[in-house]
Amino acid sequence: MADQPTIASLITQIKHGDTIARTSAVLQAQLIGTDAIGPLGAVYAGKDAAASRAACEAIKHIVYNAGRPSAPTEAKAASVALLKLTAPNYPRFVRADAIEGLGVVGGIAEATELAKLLSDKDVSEDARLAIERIPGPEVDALLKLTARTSSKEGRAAIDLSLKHRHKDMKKIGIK
Amino acid sequence: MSSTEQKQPDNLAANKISRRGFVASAATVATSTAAFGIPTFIPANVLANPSKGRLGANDKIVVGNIGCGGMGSSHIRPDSAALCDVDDDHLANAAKRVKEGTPTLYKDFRKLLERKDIDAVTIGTPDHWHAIMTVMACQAGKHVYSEKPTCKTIEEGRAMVNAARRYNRIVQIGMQGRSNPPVTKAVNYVRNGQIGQIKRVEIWHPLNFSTDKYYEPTAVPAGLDWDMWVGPSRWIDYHPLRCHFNFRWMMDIGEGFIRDRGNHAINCVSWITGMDDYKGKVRVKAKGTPKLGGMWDAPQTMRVEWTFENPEWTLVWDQPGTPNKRFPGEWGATYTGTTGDLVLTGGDGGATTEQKAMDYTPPASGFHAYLEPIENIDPTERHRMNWFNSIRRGKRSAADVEIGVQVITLPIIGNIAWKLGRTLTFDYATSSFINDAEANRHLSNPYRAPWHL
Repeated sequence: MADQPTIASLITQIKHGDTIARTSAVLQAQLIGTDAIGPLGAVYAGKDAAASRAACEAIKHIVYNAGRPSAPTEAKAASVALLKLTAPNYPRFVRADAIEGLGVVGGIAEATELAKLLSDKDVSEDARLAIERIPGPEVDALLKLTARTSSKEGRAAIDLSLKHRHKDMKKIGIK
Repeated sequence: MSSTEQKQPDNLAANKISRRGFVASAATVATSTAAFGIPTFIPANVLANPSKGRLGANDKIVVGNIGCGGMGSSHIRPDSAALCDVDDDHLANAAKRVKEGTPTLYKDFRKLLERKDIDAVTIGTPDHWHAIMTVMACQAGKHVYSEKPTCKTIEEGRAMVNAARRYNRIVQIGMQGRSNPPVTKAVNYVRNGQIGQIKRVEIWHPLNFSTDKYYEPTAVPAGLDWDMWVGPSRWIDYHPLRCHFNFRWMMDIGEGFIRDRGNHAINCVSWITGMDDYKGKVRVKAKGTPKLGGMWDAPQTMRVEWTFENPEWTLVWDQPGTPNKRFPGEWGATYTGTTGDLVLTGGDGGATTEQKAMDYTPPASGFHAYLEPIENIDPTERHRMNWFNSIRRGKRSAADVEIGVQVITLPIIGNIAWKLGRTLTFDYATSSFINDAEANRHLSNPYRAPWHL
């Protein structure tokens, strides 16, 4: 029986020169779970293009699995780990993907953190799109509150999000 | 309806047979509705009716083409009035194909839509533009021929149908299988009970493309408006392997062959099995192998299974899958029923089916698939002519947008199941997944400003 993968073994495999080894690592990543997101983020941000690409894929597998029904603790853990990858010391592409992941598994707490990125010119639009996906009236209130202190352009974008969140499917597409 | 009125295609109001009724009783032909003839004369009621804004049978339809590369280039008419593309090279090549008059060239489709003299537009852009452009074109009073796949998300599909109906526009989706004679033969063969009740359809198709190259910062070529190319999608930096045809292999934008030829193959499945109006639940599971040797992230192999209910049957998309040995082809589908089977290869502008279906003649009272009555014409051109004629008739076209949305729903939910790595149940009646909040967050895409539906 193969040994249970560890974060260390996962990272080693993700950095492996062989495509098959990297693929195997990606497919096993969710067995380790959300604790691997941080270390994988570091590889994703690195200069080894092949390892970076594999790390990106592994993070997605973990995050989407964490968002499954009846696993709120894992979704929260994934959100906490992803939030760390949104820091400005990470490359824009890592931040953007982490932000997108937060839009899929995050809640009001993550939306509140994402709202702080609306004034970050590198990822402001990514942050808005992610917040837009997160359901709940608290997020509406957050967007309205954020709009008050936003630039004219920022307010216009937030207004688009608010409208989209309250779309009537019977009328969408109709002026 | 007057006796001279053009009968609608089978997928519309006339000659409708419910999916359940068909699937459950396909072995007995007796339930089929009456056959209908397609008059080759021009009915009086399609003559020009200015009060309703309808074009007459002999009126010229002024066309503008949006998206002039790839398949979009095939829609350029000798007399196209306007051309639009974000790439100057595409525009220049397209302009050479217009022989009558000088088309106005645009890089922003909104300017083209402002033209009052343009009646109809074709949309041959990457997928992420189809919905917004279709909606805005309908709002501007234009009829639309949009390339497949119809839309990126379930929400976009709803918007397209709403706009088409609200503004009374003819919106045709580029699923040429609906205008391809061998496909109609397969439809007639199966829907008149020749293989019994449908149990399984297996589509085989080659792998998604792959590359060994990785992203490196690359200057946007002069003449390409990359910001407009990205449009409503979340921002990605330019790279030639992300642009034009290559977008198909990025999960953010193109999402693999399942949305390309898969759309065509599933379109044929929907027609042949009578699923155009299915409103039940479908269970979807997917697996695939990520291709990690390059920058594209569409899975290299992919297998998606959709299981429909009442009665239960299964559709499979399999890359690479196994070509049918009896009737092989690069891609195609084997339709298996309770009393027989049938193979259809291809399903876009090219399609072939077995001789037994080609030789089959439905009974007069049986099901007759609609085919725009034009002799000796390429299926893709027949499909365009069906659109033009539908505009003149004021009737929905063969691949009406609502059918397009019904069809693309299966690849959309298949890709979501693959991304999430779990089996999902989608309810057509509510257009949502059952008991999976995360999956439901994938049913719409937030748009980059200033774009919105």
